[in-house]
Amino acid sequence: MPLLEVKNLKTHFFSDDAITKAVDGVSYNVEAGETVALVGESGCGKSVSSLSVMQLIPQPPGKIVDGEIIFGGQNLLELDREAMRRKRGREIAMIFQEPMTSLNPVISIETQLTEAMTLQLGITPKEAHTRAVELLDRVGIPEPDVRIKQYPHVFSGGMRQRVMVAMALSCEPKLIIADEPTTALDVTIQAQILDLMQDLAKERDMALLIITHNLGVVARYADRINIMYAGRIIERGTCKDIFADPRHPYTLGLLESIPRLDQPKGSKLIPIQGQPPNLSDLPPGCSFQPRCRFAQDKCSVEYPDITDLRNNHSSACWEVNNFKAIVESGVSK
Amino acid sequence: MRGYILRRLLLLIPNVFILATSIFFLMRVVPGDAAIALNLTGDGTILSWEAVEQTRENLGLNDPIWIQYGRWMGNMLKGDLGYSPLRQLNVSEIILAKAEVTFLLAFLAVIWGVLFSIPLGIIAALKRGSWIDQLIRTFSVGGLSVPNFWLGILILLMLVHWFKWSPPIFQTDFLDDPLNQMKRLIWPSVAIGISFAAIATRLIRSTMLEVLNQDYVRTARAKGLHRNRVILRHAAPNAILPVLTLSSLLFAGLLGGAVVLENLFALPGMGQQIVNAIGTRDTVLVQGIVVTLGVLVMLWNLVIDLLYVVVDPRIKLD
Ligand SMILES: Nc1ncnc2c1ncn2[C@@H]1O[C@H](COP(=O)(O)OP(=O)(O)OP(=O)(O)O)[C@@H](O)[C@H]1O
Ligand SMILES: [Mg+2]
Repeated sequence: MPLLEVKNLKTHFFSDDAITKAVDGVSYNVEAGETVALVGESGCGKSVSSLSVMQLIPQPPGKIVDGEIIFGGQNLLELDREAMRRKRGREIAMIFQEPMTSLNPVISIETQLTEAMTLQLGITPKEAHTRAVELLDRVGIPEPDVRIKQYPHVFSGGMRQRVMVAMALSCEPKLIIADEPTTALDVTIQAQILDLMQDLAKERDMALLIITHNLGVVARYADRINIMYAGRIIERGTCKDIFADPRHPYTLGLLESIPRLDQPKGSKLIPIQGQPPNLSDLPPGCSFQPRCRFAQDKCSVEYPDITDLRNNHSSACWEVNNFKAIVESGVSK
Repeated sequence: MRGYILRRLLLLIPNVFILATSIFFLMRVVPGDAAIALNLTGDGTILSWEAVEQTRENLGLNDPIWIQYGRWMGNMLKGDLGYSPLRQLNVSEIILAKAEVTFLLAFLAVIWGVLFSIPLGIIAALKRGSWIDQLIRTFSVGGLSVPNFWLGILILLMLVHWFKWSPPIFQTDFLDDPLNQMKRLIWPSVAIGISFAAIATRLIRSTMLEVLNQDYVRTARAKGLHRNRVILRHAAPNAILPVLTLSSLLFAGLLGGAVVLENLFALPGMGQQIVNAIGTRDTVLVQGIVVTLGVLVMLWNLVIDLLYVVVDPRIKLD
């Protein structure tokens, strides 16, 4: 049984004149101890789908209208508020995109680190302090016993994200959701933080759900990848499946738009044409069809179900089975 | 920290100088002087113009204006606010005896404002759009539009009419008899504080709504903290910081309110004195009171700036 099983999740935002279907039928699994990536363009609903798992969607305007989120055999959507609160931090922790604003400016690092531990683990403030210093040391903060007394504003972005990692680890959760944890950081720091998270997760046998818009970033870390487009998962598979045998034109587009070591030197990067669709006014049929090089008549009529090819490599494209042939024949709009 | 306070206190000097100069020349524009009041008979007629002229000569009111100005400023530098010929007392003695009531009124008004506005503003933000929010917003619009002297009259009438209350006439001060002093000051300070409470409630409501959308509040919830802790420990302190600034901006206005309400509630403060002093053209006393009120406002601002350092770790003084 997977640790986390999201089934047909639908989270919509309601405003006076429109319904934004930010997440519209998303399903994915995370097994205990593995690293899974959720990849897609900006605005495709990645954050909303992860916040839905934590039930931190601003409500109103947001609402989880359908689906199941099964964690450790329990449907989180059926829990009452108190039971859900006890899961947060303790069993599922989250790291956010913006290290500069994710820590409270008027509360010391120490309090921000220890308050969850004393509450969720029931340990004394003194024990929590000792643990917090150890954690800061582990995530690579120099002089942790001094820095723990300080406030967030004296930490750089990278350091703050390390504090966030320490905070996420502090209650030994089974799953850490990292929502674009490195997007706001510069490239060298990005790799350091991701390496750190990966090491810590493996060390403690925690599962990691990494959310990113950069397929290149997760190639090194993820066991499995879910590609998301306009509120749905359109392809999923192992890292190898996705990179070596993509079965969806959007995935292909993503791969063509990042530099790769396994391609001949000098091969061109091709950006995906067109704009991401408006989630409150989706095109008929497949959402990707207006931007798709291989679109056929059928594509603008009906949305293809996500179908399994083999070993959990699945894609939601009508041409999933002879995708390779189509790409090679170069059929183009 | 000590260096900063010292620098701020030194800055008081030019500020007080400008204030003192302005009020000095302003008072010279007002027609009439203390010599007339000193030579009035019981029924309000002037004894004789010769006597008035003689008094002017004695008080130095016939000297050129620059000489008068220099004399007053010179005395102030020595810490002497002058002598009131009408009351036959040193101005500083009069002010020392009266400053407490005025300051306490304004200070209590801030306290009421804070005590009302923090819970109301936070509740309004949390219950945004509900009838409670509507009610609180109605209160704050009402509090803003009602002048404090009118509210004072209303409170006074209600107290007298329904509770058979009468304004206490005994004299006391806070150190001798804090309880009775507070009893005297509660209602007038509420009347002054309502407008501050109204503005602060609106401010807290809107900053709270903003703060609740901040990433760090989401982080606090993601940690599994209790809702109350998220609101009171993580959101509220950030939302009420601007009220400190508001209190330093509005403190002068609150002192002004105290001046009016003292007269209404028969409280022996600087407000009563200044009204009296203006009526009798006791210029030296008016000048002394205005300078004192000015210094109170400036000191209050300093205290608020220091408080900021205590509550907001991002702010450094030096
Ligand atoms: N609080 C909200 N109110 C209304 N709509 C929202 C809200 N939050 C998200 N949305 C909508 O949901 C859609 C998906 O947003 P989401 O933040 O999940 O995107 P994302 O994939 O995480 O993008 P990014 O890479 O930029 O973080 C957006 O198009 C947005 O319009
Ligand atoms: Mg996002």
